[in-house]
Amino acid sequence: MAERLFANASPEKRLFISLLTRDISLIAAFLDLIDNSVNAAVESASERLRSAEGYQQVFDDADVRPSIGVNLKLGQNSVEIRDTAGGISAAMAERHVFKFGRSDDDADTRDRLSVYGIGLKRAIFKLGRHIRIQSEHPEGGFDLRLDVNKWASDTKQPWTFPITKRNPAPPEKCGTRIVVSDLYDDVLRRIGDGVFAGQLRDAISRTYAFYMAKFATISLGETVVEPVMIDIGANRTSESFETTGVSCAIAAGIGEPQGGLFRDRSAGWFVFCNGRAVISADKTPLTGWATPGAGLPIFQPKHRPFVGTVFFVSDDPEKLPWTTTKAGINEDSAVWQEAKRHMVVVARSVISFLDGRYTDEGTEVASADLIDVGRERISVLSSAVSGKSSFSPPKVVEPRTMRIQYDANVMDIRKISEYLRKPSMSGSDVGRHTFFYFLRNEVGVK
Amino acid sequence: MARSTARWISYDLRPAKQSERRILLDVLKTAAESGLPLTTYRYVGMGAVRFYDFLLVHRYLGMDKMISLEHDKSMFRRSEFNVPFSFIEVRNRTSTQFIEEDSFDQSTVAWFDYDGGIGPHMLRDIAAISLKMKLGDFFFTTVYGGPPSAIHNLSDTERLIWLQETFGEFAGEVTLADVENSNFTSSIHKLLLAAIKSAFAARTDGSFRFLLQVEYSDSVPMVTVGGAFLADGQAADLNRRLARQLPFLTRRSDELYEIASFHLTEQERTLFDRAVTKPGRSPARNKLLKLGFRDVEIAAYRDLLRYVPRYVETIV
Repeated sequence: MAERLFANASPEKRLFISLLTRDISLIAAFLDLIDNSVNAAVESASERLRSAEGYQQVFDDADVRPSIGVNLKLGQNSVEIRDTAGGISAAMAERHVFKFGRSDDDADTRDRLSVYGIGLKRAIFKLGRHIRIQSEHPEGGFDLRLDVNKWASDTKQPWTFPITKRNPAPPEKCGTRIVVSDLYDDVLRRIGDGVFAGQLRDAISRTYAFYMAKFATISLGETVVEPVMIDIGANRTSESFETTGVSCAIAAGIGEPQGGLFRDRSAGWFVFCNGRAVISADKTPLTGWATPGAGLPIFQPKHRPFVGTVFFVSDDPEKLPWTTTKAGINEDSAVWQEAKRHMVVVARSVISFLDGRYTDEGTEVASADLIDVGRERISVLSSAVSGKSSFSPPKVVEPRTMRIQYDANVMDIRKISEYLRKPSMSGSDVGRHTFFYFLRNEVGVK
Repeated sequence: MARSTARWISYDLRPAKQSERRILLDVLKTAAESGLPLTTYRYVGMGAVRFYDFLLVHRYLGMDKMISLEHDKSMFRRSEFNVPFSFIEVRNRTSTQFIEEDSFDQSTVAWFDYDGGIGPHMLRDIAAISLKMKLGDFFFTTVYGGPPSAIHNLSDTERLIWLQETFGEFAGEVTLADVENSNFTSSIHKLLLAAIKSAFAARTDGSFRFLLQVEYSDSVPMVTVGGAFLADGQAADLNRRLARQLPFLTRRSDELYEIASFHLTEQERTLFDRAVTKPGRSPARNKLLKLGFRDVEIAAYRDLLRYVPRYVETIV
């Protein structure tokens, strides 16, 4: 009988860290850190956040107000995130928080933004070589100091992080502070590139608009980040469907102009998973644009008033169609594929209306009139829960005038203007004169 | 492209501008003292028809390789006519054309003193020059600090949107408060900072160190931002020297220093000179306070004592 052997298939830490961090952008890594804080902040309300209606009710509930703070600091050679979201107990840290990946035992039914159990680790590994986590919790928090290089070169199995237990803390002092120092050169350069802070602020304001309105105040440095809510005109097409534990509400209509203009950055598709924006203002084939055949046309400036929203909800975040970085869509997921088909249908009437505004004569509906077409503004959430509706394009008013345009021989035009003893007449004046001459003398209209 | 302001502003009477030139010169002198061989550098500027910066740079730093860029065809003829030294080469090129055509083989101090309001082409110039500058090179840029004419009559919100649409992510840190007329220099400063930081972030052989961030106003607000592309060791030494010699410039790392304009009589100026060169209270300071001057003006004069020009009228 052949001898059975067991080939070594254990992971190598350095490769593991490299694989884990390579495909996540720095912005997404920071958002991953914020996800942990926000996820903890919504635990108490998680029972209500099981459907789009639940999100709407929480949103409308005046008693639900931001109760925790999340502060991000970008330093010269360190980054810090600090929250007041209740902290992590030493027991949780020992058993669950630092495990790479989540088993069924680790899953918490209260999780809304925590999916795979890798976000926190991936984010801190992405940033730098020294990690300090300090958490205060009523049952006793913990301290972690990790030298990543040292940890990576340690081959001992199983993998562990050295933590020390802290004394129980009063509720008002509970929370978590993460400091990553000795940042990687690429991270240092990116953070100091003059645009990163602005990009991060923009990403936070779009990604957590719902959560910032109701659960957490997020600040970057000394400045509180303001949420950017996506509103849509009440005159819209909307549909919804449910499949495999995920509900999805889709709407398309006219967006909200800013400073009198429909802006490119506010146009396109906005996709939310459990209230968190996953993609914003998308105009690519991912959301059906520029897809020949049954898809949408290539996005053009005339489509800037278009806003489409897709709102996925599930009490099992793993069923949502987001990628592990939560910065993109898992295009192959069945729920996304179904949503995409609905998106094209929902968008069609709005796009066809916007296309129709442009004829040979120019724009038939002035930009200001588009606001009336969209009617009053409603939130993405209101749109998601208000059932099926159809976009009604405005009735086309029969034009009272029509442009006449034709080419004529320049010598003939001059002959007419000289005949009329007005040699300085322009071509259009000659055209107008001859038109009215015919109307009066041949047709008999006074 | 904006027409040169040399057509309609008398350059002879721009005291804040002259203070700025002298401060910039001191920054360069400090860099020379820290070991950079500035005398062997070439100077690239926009000398117009007066060449004031060229005159100062040659006299005080000894540079004798100089290029003046003049994009305006008719000004180019006048510029060639007025060139004060034979070693100044006047080129009828824009800054964009110059950066594209030049190899930057020689160590360079470049000062792009634009006439007009900020535009995307200036930020593209910054991105382009960042790819060519060598370690030890200097780059300064000056632009109009007020709102561009396109947004002059717009509301603050519309101005902010215009900046975001026009300059994209470079406007990410600009706030509504920054776009008010009285504070617009702050918008310009943030745009330039973001553009320079972003442009040089990809360079791994050194880093751009901001050495000069100032605003001033003789008739209209202007903003100058610039510095040097240096290795870490060079930068540390130069920063130490600058903190000692021009402390007011390095007091706040990411803020604009406002070069004050002083409108003083000769007698008042003498009082100011005495007041700021004696520590604590002095009869000269007390007299200034009695005359209605404020401590903040005395403090500003203390910063700029060595840089405020003195103009005298002569009868020919």
